[in-house]
Amino acid sequence: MNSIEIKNLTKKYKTFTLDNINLSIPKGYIMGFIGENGAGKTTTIKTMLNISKRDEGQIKILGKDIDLNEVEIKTKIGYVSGDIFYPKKTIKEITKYYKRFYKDWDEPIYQSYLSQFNLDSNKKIDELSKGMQLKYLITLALSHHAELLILDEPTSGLDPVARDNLLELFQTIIENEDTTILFSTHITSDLEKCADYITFIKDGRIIESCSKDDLIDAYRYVTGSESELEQMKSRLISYKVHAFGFNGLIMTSDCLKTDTAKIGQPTLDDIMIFYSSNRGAIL
Amino acid sequence: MKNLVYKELGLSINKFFYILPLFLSGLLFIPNWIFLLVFYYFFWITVPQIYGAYLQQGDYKLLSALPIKRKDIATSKVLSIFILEGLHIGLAVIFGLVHIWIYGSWNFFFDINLSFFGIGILLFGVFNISFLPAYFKTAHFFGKPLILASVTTLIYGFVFEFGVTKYQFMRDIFEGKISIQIIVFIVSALLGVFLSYLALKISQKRIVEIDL
Repeated sequence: MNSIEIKNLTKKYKTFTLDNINLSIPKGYIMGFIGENGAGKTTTIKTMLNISKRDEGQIKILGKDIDLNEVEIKTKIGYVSGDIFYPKKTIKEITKYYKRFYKDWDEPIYQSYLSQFNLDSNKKIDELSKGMQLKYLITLALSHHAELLILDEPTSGLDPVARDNLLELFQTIIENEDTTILFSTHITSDLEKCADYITFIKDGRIIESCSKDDLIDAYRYVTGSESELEQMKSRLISYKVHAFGFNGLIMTSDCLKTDTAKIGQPTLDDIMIFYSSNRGAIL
Repeated sequence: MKNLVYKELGLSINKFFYILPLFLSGLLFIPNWIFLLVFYYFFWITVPQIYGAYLQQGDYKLLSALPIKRKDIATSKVLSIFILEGLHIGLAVIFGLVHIWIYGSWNFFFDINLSFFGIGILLFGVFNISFLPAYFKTAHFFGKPLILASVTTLIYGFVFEFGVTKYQFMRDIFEGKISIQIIVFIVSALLGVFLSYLALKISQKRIVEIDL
């Protein structure tokens, strides 16, 4: 069963269009949603959750249509947008009102996460560091046994140690709770550690949506001399010329046995960077 | 819905705005004044503070994560305003009675009497229908809707306050026999409630159509 199934999702703004998004995430896996700033990650998530109204498309979450079962679906979702709310209120005050909306609120689990994250419930939200704020939002999301966690750029603004701790937490959640996680980020190294699937969005269109291994296998990172560039130029997705030659990105299927340039495995960062420049040279 | 209204009253709206009606009603102790102004302070102090705080506190960021119907977001915010308006009217009635006891009911401008409270309820209705549907076109920007509502309610208030000082027939209707005052009260209060209900319905419809 898929936790999320999006078909032909379209949302038009004056200067940006989310164009025909198709996306599915199998239950119990982590999907990384990558793309540069402004690519449409947040818009996709907001539209998917009916926070923004869509122009076209069908959305099923946890097997149910979002238009017909929005409230029921949202009781089983933990959505962390990274934006804080009520900064001058204490954790205790916010939780008091927040938990009333969830029938499955689990107070012992909530208390255990507070203590695991060293969160003092008497502290105001704006007295917490960015990382601690995020941990509080994740605590809220996890304390009602969410079957699906949707995290919009949860690691941006965190230091490497806090990011690593958070990624470990996601993996623990997946192992213990059979939860599905959709995790949008532009810090792709985070996903190399924990994601099972990757969806790559650019300019409002999905470029790839597949398993992380398949995505990485579908591309090759190429380095070579300027003469080798001439042989491959037309097949490269994009390339960068430097003093010693060039490096670039190519589809694995476009590689030829006769190619003499050095061909290796790309990182997710490489795929995102070279795609962001469209075809041709990155200057 | 109950949880949302509870959240509005307990978390979103500052406790000060439950005490403010008490201070504002104290203005009814001024002898010879434009007493309708007591209600206007709600429009000019409480409303912009509450709606500004929704933005500053990231209220819609919290709401967008909760398992609630869009329609209920508007309903809870509108009902909270109605509750505060009810508080203003209720306290104004008490302080108004004390005013009459101290000074008698005569006033150069609109008297404090049954008609006054009917016109007051209708004033809130006029404010609600001018402000709330305009606000829920965006559920973020409250400046233009508040200007629109302020202009509308000022014109409304001017008609009555100026009318009773200038024209005898208006004094006869609004400050004359108690039987006529009762009719004025019932008609204007019903109209005020109807306009407020209409404001709620339009707000519910508008919030469903926008991006939060």
